[in-house]
Amino acid sequence: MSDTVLEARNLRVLYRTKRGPVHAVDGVSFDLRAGETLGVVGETGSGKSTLGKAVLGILPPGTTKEGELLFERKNLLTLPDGQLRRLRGKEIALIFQDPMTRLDPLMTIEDHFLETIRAHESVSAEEARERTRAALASMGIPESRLKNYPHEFSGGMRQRIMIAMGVVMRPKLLVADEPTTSLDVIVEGQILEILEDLKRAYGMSLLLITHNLGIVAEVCDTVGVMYAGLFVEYGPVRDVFKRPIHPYTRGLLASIIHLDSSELVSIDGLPPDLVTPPAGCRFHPRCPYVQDVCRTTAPEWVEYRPGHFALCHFGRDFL
Amino acid sequence: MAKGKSLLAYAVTRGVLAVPMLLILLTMVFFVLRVLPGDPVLALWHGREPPPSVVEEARRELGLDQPVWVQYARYMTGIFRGDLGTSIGEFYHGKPVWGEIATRLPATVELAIGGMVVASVIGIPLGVISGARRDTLADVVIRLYGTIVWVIPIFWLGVIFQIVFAIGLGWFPPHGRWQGTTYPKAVTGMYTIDSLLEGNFSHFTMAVRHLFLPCLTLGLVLSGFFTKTVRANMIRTMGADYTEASRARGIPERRVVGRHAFKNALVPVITVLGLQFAILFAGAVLTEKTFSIEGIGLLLLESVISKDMTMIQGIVVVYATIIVAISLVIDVLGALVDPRIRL
Repeated sequence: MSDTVLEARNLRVLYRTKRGPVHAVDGVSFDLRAGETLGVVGETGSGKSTLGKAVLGILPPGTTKEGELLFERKNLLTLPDGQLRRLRGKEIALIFQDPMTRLDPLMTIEDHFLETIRAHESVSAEEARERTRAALASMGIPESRLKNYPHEFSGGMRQRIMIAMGVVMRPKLLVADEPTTSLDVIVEGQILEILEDLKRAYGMSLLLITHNLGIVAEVCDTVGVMYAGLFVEYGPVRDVFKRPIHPYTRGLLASIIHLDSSELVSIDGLPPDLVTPPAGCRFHPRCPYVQDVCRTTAPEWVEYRPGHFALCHFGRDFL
Repeated sequence: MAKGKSLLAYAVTRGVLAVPMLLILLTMVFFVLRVLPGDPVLALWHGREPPPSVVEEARRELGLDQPVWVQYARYMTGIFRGDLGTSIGEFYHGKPVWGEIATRLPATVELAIGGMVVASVIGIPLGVISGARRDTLADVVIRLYGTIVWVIPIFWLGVIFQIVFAIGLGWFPPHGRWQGTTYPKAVTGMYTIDSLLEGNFSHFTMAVRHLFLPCLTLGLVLSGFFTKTVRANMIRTMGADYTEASRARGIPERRVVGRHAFKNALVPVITVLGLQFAILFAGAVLTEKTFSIEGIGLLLLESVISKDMTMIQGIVVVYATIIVAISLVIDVLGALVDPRIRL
């Protein structure tokens, strides 16, 4: 499709650790179109942050990447370091989970912006300052605070600063890795609203990584459910939430607290260790519907409805 | 908050706090030296039994017949009048202690600063490379260098340098601070500074040539420690969240390392290296001995051998003052780099 901004085809990321190789991302495919939002949900350790870092090309050295990750038809996995560096922060920006530690404590806010702008464009100091003022003002940070250091701001303000810095170059794609996890609920709402506004204003695409299904339902167009390095289900948000196929997705949706039910539903067990993932279907040790075939054979990625994929031997039974 | 103003306020506060710190330190020096075993008067007789009248006389001269608090009051007021007493040892008998220290101190200051410069110029860049390229060949080689250099006995390295560069190749004088009969006009007592002050370039070269080998010896051994300290802190800051975030903003790697990782690594490094510098004033004695530099370290050694209690006390007082002064400088430098310290 012509307006696809980011396209992943069988993406794999392999970390080398002392305990052995870890397939943090083990064959993930998706499409993200211009102006749309893709949500990636999953538990801690499911590989969703690795996915975000892979898009930015900031995985640690020595990490193996396979498959294809196309940004406007350029394969990010094979792009030379120099070109990738110029894309980062300019065309593709990343907002991290913890704004408290992501700003250099020894640098003023203004210097962070000037540094970012001048890493990508040769503009006059005056113009760079002007853009900085404008970007921060749009996030409600007054000009008088430009010369302040990160420790002089609250968490919510720092996250707004991070967002302002992320979008100061008008990127086509913004990757937000749990942007509201460390913030309180009111600030969370404000940040999500800001992201929505930015998307509308600049036609920016958003890759939103979160463990919060509520946020996905609110903000995303498409959702990928990640488990043990794999997408187990992928499709339009309404479809996936209304008619989930994979038992894991069903479990996740059932574990949301409903006011009208007294019981708290949870998925038994813990996510598997990715050094030694389970054979067959990776979810089988926790799956309430497990059959013999699940223990031995890996399921296939099947499109059960238009644009709605799942990774389950018995997907058809759950339709 | 205005950067300059709060930094000045911090420096002034620190300076004021340094005064009680110094007073406590000087008090401790006084009492520790009183508590130590051995009688300074008897010590001068090398185990022979002196006639009681002589002992009596010597005690009165040194003020040891007075109660401790009177001695303490005399000691403290003496220090603030610049009077550290007179030597009772055999080498400097009857000479004022402060005068002796003042003639010896500049040599040690030159040596310590020179050694510090060499150690920083070699150790800091090596530590940065090693930490930024962890587990590469460069890192392995630099770590090996750091360990080897750090365990080399300093006098052994000094002798090797003397044999190779002074005696063998004849590039540098083997020992001492000066050759010839005309000396630079004494202002600071440091020959490098004094010769620059009088504008005599050949004098300056002479001073630097004499300093070169001892500073290289001291600096090389110290550079091993510097490399390790900087490397450990670089590894910490290279893995920090803000470093990764600056990469994600597309900042060129050189700047990520140089500006974000290095500057943040510098904060604890300043403290460790600054204290190391303070230790050099006392710890350079091996280098002073090897290169026959008449510094304060050698003076202390001689005073200990001759049981010159007043001289030892004077030198320790000077060390205490230097350490308080350097701590003050370290704190202000730290605050200059890290705005969070200024609060």
